[in-house]
Amino acid sequence: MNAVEAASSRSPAGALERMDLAVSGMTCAACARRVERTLSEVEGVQECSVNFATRRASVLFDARTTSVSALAHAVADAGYRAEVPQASTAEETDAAEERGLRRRLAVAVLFGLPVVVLAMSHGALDFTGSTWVQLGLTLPVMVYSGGPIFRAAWAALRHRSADMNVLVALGTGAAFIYSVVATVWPTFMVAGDHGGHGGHGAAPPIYFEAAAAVIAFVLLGRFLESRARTRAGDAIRRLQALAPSIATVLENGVEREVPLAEVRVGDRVVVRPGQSIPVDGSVVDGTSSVDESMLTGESLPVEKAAGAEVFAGTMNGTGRLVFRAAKVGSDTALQQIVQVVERAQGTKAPIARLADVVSGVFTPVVLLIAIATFAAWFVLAPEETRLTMALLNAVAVLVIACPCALGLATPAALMVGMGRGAQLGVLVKSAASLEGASRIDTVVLDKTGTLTQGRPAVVRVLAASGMTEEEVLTLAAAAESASEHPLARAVLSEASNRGLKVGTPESFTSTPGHGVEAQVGGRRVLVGSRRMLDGRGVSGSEDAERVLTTDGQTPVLVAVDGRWVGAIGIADPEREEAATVVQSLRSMGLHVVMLTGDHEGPAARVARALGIDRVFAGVLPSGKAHVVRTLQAEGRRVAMVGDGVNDAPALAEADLGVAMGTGTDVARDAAGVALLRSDLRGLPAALGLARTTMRVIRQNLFWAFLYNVLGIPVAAGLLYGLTGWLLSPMLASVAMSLSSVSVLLNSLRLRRLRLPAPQAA
Amino acid sequence: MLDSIEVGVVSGSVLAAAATVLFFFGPRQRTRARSEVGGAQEVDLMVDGGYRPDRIVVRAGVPVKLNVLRTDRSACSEQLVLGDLGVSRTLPTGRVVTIELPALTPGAYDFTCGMSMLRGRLIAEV
Repeated sequence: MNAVEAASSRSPAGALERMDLAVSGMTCAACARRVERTLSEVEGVQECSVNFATRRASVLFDARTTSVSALAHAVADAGYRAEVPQASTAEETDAAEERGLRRRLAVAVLFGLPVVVLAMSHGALDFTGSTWVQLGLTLPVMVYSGGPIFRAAWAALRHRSADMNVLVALGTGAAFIYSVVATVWPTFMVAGDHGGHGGHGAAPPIYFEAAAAVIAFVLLGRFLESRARTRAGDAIRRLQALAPSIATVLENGVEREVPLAEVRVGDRVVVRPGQSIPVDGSVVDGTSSVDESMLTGESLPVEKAAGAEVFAGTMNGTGRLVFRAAKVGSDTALQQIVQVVERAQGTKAPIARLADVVSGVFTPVVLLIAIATFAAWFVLAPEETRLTMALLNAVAVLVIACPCALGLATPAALMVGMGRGAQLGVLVKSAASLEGASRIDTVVLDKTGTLTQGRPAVVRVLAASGMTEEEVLTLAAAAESASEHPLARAVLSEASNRGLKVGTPESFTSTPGHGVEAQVGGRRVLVGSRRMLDGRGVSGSEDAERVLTTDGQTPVLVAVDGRWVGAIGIADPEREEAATVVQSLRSMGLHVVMLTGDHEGPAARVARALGIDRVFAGVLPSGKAHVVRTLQAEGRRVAMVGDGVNDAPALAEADLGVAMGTGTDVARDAAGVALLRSDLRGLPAALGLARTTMRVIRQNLFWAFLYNVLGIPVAAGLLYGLTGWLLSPMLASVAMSLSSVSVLLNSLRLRRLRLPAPQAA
Repeated sequence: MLDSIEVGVVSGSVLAAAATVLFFFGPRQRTRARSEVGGAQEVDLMVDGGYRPDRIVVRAGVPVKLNVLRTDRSACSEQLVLGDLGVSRTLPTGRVVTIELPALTPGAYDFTCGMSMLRGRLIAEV
């Protein structure tokens, strides 16, 4: 996704474009006015408004006169910077972010470690002024390393919202300020605490090591977390990186390299051998083979010539192609896929509702618990240690509480799971679909085109006495030559394979669902079902029909001048992977149901061959949704697999709609899951992905809740009366840092998910 | 019996708790969206450790354009989620992301960060 989502809309005139640019360097409203004036003076700019609050310039310009680059240059000349959207900028920002984090962590360890050693030596390393040394060493940790935490906490509090930074800042801030007062003004602490630690003028205890160590551990946790988060988003980043950032546009016979953002619909784009294709379009010149596996999962390169469609992100082979851009920017198939995944990753799974409610009030509630902890320990602890115990336990509560583990539990798993799905050609439209998919117990598959290749072929020809197979086929093919029916295509294809000379019918009528009637060489030829022949009073085909049906073939009957002359057995071969997939589904404990408009016989044969549990035969297209409802009435949770267009009502009716073979057309709304490739193996992969992702989410939520539910009371000292346990803030910060990292690492296991390997059926 | 310092600490704690509840859960200021003639109503939303404004009032039945600018670098705020509307966007730091929303039916639509800790509300009124 582009960082600036330029709402680029064409006017009816077709040349006006609106573009949003991010402008940096403005310090006041006067700057905004200056940028506005600068842009307005650029030739071709019709309208311009600069919003200082959002640092945004919205420009309406004539694309034939000026370009985004020209606008950016004009702003640069005025002393500011207008950003042309570039996907890599976000990555650069992330990298800079990580470098900064690493530096702050290094400083925290370098200065914090001696403080911890001094504090933990229990007097062995004590020397005069050691507390001042500790203060001096802790200061850079608090100011430099912890600075962003304190700034973020302040920003959150200004908005009356609260996040983890607030908890860490309050905890470490309290420990640090207490220790500074105890160092600079020890008598105050002693007086205020009736004798302080050890009583009678002994130096009050200090906790610089707790403040420094907590900051160090929080930063370490964030560092590990940021690495893990980066890996979690790898799949989407890799998809986005498929499109090049520069495109070659052909203008008046001259090739010119332009940034991807400047390619417009209608531009002629050149792709050389080995280059990846920048935008979607249709080929106008050249031939080549294109590897589309990254988009559709189809492993074989696809031949492209004039008129063929090409897609952004796919890899050109050995030829040079010139194509006309049809879809650019966020309209390309690649960006559509990325957007579907990104949107889905951000949706909420019903399972996470409780976590969302808890996250919303988590920090304020922890603050209340910390206040209560402080008050309780102050009242209950021995007088000489009450302030330190109250303070330490309150700080431990603040730093052990980890809203991040809870907040990351669902999104982290969704991000990795859905990203991995996209790589496998499985697009999940929302978290709710994913959750629904994990609970499916019945899968309904359409026979034709889903379990079978969708290309019926002639298997056998039976001729009546006095006729040959070739004569029957020749007559049938001639009669069917004007028909578009798949069975007619099969008959014609077989006639052609046998080298038969097929004539043209003098007349032709087709009765949908029954067959065709034609005049061929002066003879009246009927080709169709038993219903058709019965209607014309033709009999004698019963035995041949029985033979073919028993073999699982669809019988097409042929009659000439009122006499039955032969039957053609047609079957649609199963897909190569169908049996393996059905077996996979059954091994997942799923009930597999097939529905088809075909006869019982062929349907039963396919079901037997593939090991399918249940068959609904003779179902009309409009009856598919009824089958889904019938199964749901039995208490089943049904997934319906179809092509996403003809099956839309059934897909919408099912608990989970799976659109198969959507290729680059991902905007199909009827289905909760889209399989990009026309390979059935995506189905168990999708259902397996859903189950595994939901399992990981449940584990994450369980541990995040358990960790906080157990950790906070222990930190508050609830077990002190029973076990004498108190948690030092340092250990609490270690636990807190590890909790969110463990949630992320658990989610990252989903990256290893594989498609079931193709096996011989 | 509590001594005077303990009474002070307990009283202070009760006051601090009450202030915390009021601070986080008390009433908030509402901001109205700018209406454009014949177009969508626009709102500029700043993300900086929280949402400013965090209570946005829009007119129901008119499309909404949210111009979101995130200025902080906290991992918490890098996603903006409008769960009820099925919208989720990644917010790069320092760049405006425009989110176009359809005309809304009257009601309240919460928006949150990816972890649901930062919260705001879009209120569609007739």
